Amino acid sequence: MQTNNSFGTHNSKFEQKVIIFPALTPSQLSCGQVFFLFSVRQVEDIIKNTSVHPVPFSSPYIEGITIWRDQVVPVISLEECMGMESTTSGSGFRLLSTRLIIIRILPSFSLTDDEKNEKVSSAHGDILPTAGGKKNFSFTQEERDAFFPAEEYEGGARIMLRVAPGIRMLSLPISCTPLPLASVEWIPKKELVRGVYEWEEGYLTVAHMEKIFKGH
Amino acid sequence: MTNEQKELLLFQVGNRQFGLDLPLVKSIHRAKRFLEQGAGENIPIYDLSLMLGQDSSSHHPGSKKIMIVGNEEYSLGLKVDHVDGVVSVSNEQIKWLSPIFKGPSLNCFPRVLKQNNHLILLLNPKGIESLNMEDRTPDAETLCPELRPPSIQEECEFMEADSLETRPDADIKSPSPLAENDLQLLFKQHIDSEKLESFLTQMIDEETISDMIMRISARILEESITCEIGKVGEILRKRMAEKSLKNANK
Repeated sequence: MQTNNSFGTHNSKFEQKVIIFPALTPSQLSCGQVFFLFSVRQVEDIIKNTSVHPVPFSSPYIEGITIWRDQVVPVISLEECMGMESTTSGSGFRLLSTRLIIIRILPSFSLTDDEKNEKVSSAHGDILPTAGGKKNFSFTQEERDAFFPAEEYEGGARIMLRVAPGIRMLSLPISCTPLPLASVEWIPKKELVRGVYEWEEGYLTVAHMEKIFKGH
Repeated sequence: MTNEQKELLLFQVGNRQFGLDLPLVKSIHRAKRFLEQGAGENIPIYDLSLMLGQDSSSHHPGSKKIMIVGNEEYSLGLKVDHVDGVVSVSNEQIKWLSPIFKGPSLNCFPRVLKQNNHLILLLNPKGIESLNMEDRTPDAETLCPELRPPSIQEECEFMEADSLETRPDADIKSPSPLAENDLQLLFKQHIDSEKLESFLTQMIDEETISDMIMRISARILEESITCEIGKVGEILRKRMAEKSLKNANK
């Protein structure tokens, strides 16, 4: 990998390894196979299956929620999240896919005060539209913090990705060329991508997991 | 996180269980009697099975309840399929939904109860009222309208208008090429695999599907059936086997 500060760590062992898996997109869409790439530090677990509970009215790329090691974790499709055309979607895909990957977002995750306000207000049903469309929140800092104790995301926030077979671990460095995101037409939501790299087997895509987790 | 106990009312909508803060529940009534007596004339009543797209046919009509919920500022009624009871849980068992959820999903289900490796979404009644659903926003004082997505409803009307409704199989000799192509185009253009499967499953269950539709749907669903051992595949195979046996006996 030429340059990517996202994978910079103090542990030289982890710096040398990345995990990739193929994206479920038509190859003719990008003129090559698209892969998603994560540092081994981001990948906490790979499991075969789990029971997923759909959440009504959620975005189409969110399959639902599940329990992983006593935590409630969302299960999503990265391809659909980024607006990419997916070759398999719906219940057929969910039976075809063989693995679920737990991705840790950050060592410590936090929401901004505005983000907390929005969640607390929703929970209380105090969705108060005001003039100009700006919501009116009436919670104190103590009330906001009480709903989001630090231990809720202790050790980092997590997302579970449903992926197809073909998960691989590669050693760095990888010979590849970074592409300008503007030229990557097959990813509509470029703001959710940190970078795309062209390599001998196709394209390596690095997702912006923090933005994805915050629902941007 | 404190270890205080919290009381929740658990209820069923279709085959799913949900929860609600008990202090928000003002009263619970038998649905049929409540509606007949017009007791909730000034209270908006929301049919959760329709709003959440859940099939409530497996529940006995007598078990359906209307819960009047709210606080001093608002009241609304929620029609559910079954009220399971009250549970006392610790706050530690209640988790916020991930920030990845937003909009209606977060408004309606901001929290989830984690109980014995099982997840139960906790409903925020105010979120139901604030839903802005284009084709299913109820009038303030009426039950929620049928929640079938417009495309599927239109397709039902299309099929009925085209004499593909409930004729006995023997009456349909062979499909006209134009009708078959139109239907194929309709399916491919307007329905994704999930909606199609759900729609066809219901049609098959109601035994309103004709031979022609079965042939078309079998072709369209061929790929998903070969990959997925699901209800549609089983029902189709069973019906085809029954039909073959029936024809053989004639």
